[in-house]
Amino acid sequence: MNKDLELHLKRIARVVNPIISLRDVEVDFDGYKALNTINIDFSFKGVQFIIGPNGAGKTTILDAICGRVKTSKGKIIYKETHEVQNKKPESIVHLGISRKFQNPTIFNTQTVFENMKLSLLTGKRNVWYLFNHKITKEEEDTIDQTLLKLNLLEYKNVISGSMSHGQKQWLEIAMSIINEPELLLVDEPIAGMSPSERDRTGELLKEIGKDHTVLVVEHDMKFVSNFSTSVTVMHEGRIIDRGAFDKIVNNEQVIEIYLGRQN
Amino acid sequence: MKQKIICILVLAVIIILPVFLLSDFRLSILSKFVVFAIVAISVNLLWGYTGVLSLGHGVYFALGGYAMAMYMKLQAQPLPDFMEWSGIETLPWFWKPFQSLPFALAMTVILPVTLALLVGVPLFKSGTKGVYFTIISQAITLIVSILFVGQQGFTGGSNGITGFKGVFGYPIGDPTLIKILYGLAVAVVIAIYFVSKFMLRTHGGVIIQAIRDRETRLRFLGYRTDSFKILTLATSAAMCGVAGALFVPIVGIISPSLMSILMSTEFVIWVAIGGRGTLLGPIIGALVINYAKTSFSESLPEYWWYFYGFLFIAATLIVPKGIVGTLKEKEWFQNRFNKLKTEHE
Repeated sequence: MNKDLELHLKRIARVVNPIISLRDVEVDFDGYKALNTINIDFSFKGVQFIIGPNGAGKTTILDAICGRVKTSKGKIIYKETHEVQNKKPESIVHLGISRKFQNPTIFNTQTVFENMKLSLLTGKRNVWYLFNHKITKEEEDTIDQTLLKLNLLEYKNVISGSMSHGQKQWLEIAMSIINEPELLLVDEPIAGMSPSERDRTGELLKEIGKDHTVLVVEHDMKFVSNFSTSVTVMHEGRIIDRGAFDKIVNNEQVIEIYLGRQN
Repeated sequence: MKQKIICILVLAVIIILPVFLLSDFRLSILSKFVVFAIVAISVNLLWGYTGVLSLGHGVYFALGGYAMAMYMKLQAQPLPDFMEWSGIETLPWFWKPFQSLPFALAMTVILPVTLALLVGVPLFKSGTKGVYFTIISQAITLIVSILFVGQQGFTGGSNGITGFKGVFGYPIGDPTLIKILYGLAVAVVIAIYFVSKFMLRTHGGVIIQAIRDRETRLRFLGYRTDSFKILTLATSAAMCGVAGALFVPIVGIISPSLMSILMSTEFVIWVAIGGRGTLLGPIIGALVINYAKTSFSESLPEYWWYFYGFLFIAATLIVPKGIVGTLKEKEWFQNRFNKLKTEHE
């Protein structure tokens, strides 16, 4: 990597008052460096996309932030105060970091309502409280409102496993946003969705991005261009470029390693 | 509503009839099956609903049994005979409190729950999952049973504890006692059935089933799933202990063979054949299999274990959801079931 680019990357990587900062983060899968000395800040608010070819380490960044994979080096700092690297996922969630997985990860044997109830209560309280908790009117209203946002209200009492793939994706998004997390990590949200479902999902992410931070890993370039506030490009465990969509598509290196391959 | 009343009446008749129809010997055997149904419910709570397979539940059952047997033995002899044989002349300190019935009854629950916590807390906190937990549960059962066999003077060794005089003021084998014990066993199985049913209806029930289906997702929703697994294991162990305590006066003996791995595996087979993850399944499984086992062992004792193994394989391949799970899937049954449910609501 030449010096100018390095300087450029350093400049663009730093943000004033970041919500999450990665400092020299390295993730090592038995010798294979899925993340190689990552240094980046993500700013508050907005829908910030992470793109890159397969194996670039996009999902691994999300995994490292939410505690799904262990980092071998470096620090991940949330809101400039909490170090979250290698913490248990259940405690990271309570800081306000929520994760939506790539494949719809919901409780298939339970109803949509029960899925939402599980997400709403978050397990923050003690075991006895959770065991005996009866849902209140306000809590049910919160669930209804969130379901309404995702067109799922009429499916409230349906067993969630019987819904379509797109609806399952939406349910998981609903589960991830019900507690209004400050940082929402979303992995390929529109995989398997119809065009109209895609637009709806995009609009929703955009709306959440007005008040909260959304980090999205996505392949679909049209989706990225329509809904992104900023884009980070990754390749082989490193960050190549970052900026507005129009800017990064003109970066020759990006075209070469990523966009170029599609043609 | 009307149908529900009929159902309850039919059930009541089925429960009461054996008291008049069966000989004391047969009634006593039926009581034993009912006790096993309690064990099956407890195994199902852990395996069928929480997804944690324990192949060592015999140890919790036997601990409950030993607590009861210690009380009953002291009622028969101030110094148990096996202690004399081993040259122990005074009653060991830990035997003394078992002279009191309330203490012994409390211990039938406290002992298994304590062991469950000793096993569950370190294992679940360290994230031991799936087959690893299963293997360790077997190992622990093996260790405890070797300990009990080895401490002949304190535990009666491999013969276990037997030679009781009686309980509740009746001598062992008394027809009234047999009927009382049958009634007690049925009452406990019904109570435990409703306790599990209630547990599964609470939000906690939703949580433990979510652990079974997708534990990772639940952790990423912020739940400390280990606490819930420990809680379910302890509850399950408590139920098993109660069953063990009932088993002793009914059968008249407790021995390390009841905490063997073979016995523990049988528990799981009843649940699998009856219907894992259904409330009625384990009860039906325990009753049907044990009835089959008794009839089989009377006519062709040497082939029973082959048949048992075959049955387990066949059940896993042909009806993986067990008797009740498969029936539930059948449409006519489903309709009938829904009809009952809507009427109930």
